[in-house]
Amino acid sequence: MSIAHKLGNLDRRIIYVFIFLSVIWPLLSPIGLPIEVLPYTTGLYDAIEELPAGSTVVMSYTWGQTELPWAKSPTKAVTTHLLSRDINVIFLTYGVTGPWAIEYTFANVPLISEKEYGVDYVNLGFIAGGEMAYAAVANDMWEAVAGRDYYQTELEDIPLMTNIHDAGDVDLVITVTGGGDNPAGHLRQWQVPFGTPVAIIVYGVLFPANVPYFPEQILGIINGIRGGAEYEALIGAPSAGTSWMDAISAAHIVMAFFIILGNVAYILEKMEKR
Amino acid sequence: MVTAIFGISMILSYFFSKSIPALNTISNELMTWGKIMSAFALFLGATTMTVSHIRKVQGKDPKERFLSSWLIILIIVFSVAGILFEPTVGSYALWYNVVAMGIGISTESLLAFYIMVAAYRAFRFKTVESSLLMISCFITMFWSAPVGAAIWPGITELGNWLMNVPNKATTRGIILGIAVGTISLGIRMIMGKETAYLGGEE
Repeated sequence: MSIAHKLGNLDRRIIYVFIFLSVIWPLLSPIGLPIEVLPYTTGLYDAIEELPAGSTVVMSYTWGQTELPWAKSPTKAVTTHLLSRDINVIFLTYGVTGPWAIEYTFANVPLISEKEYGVDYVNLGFIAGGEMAYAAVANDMWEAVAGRDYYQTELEDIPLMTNIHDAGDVDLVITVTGGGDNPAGHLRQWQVPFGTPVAIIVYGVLFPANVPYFPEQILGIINGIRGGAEYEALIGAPSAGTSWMDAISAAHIVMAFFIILGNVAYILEKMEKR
Repeated sequence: MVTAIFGISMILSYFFSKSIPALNTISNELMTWGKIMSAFALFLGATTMTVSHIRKVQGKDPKERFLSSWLIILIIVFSVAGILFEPTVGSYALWYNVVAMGIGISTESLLAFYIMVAAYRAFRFKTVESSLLMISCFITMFWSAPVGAAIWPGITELGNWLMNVPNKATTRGIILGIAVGTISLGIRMIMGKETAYLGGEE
């Protein structure tokens, strides 16, 4: 068996070891490479900076435990930014694991403890139905959640919801999703009929599919962990996203190395056959 | 007939609800019915899955019997405990977070290893298309990681061009194609020519 053939058909366990080491080492010994902030992230940051105190933003979640690695950083950074500017936040979810994600956000954003539930933020819980649920919430939020929040408190007793009845009363909707037609669904049901500005936080794989909507229809796109790290840099609060970017850099270098190795082996094999 | 009436009502309410308030009332009522049916569908899905695994437990394959038994035990334990105890705090929440988060994140993490091996085996200079795919993969990889800009600052401009020109153009074409297909499917369903969703022939 020639060296070219061996190089082109490496035991996958060798690749697994390299990937494992490339991810673990930067986490234990961070490098701290500078992160350039792209326009997709500054779009959302600038939109929030322009909102006056007392504005209302809806954070709609469609993520859960499985999406935690990429969603943790951007949702924490954006929620911190919103609350630091005294912007009221309505949390709701269209996924069955969403209530867990909302509770996780409450437990992991320190600024939440300085805010008052029902006045500065509220949790409306899970609404089933996919795009029908987006439309129902946009048309009549009170009706969509049957007049109660996630903890079964009447919306009449929640001061934040007094003047919020449909999408027209909301200043910005930020949807966090790991899949599906969620961003386009919000454009169809929130932005087109009511003119509500839309921004999204998405899994990296979904980022290219939503770029066509930027910046005319979608104000900003937070691209998974990278977007979270950029947002942390913008708000001056480096956290998980920033530390994970070094691991991503190392993993990408290893991936490039193996792709180049595979192609070198392929070319050598072709030359041997001639 | 029912599909046609509900479909046309929703279409009309989307465009004319502000000038005809009755349409808004009809669409809100239909959406409430839809939300109730979606919630019931979740329950139906969970029940169907449990019944399917109960059948596997009664089957002959020992591996399937073991895995299905374990799944049914988890469903019963977490359902009963969730009904009896407060599901969002205390031990229940801790166990749920440990089990669900651990399993979910571990499954996602495996993807990194599989993608690495797949990239190593698949990205070769065999055809023009595969070469273009590999080149765009390299550009996107180093554009999305800080090390790319550290090695060559121009990668940011190149990656932005790749996202904003070829990607935008092709994705817009795909979005328009999907939209046209969705409209034609909707018209077929309203006219009664599409019966696959009712269990009929496609």
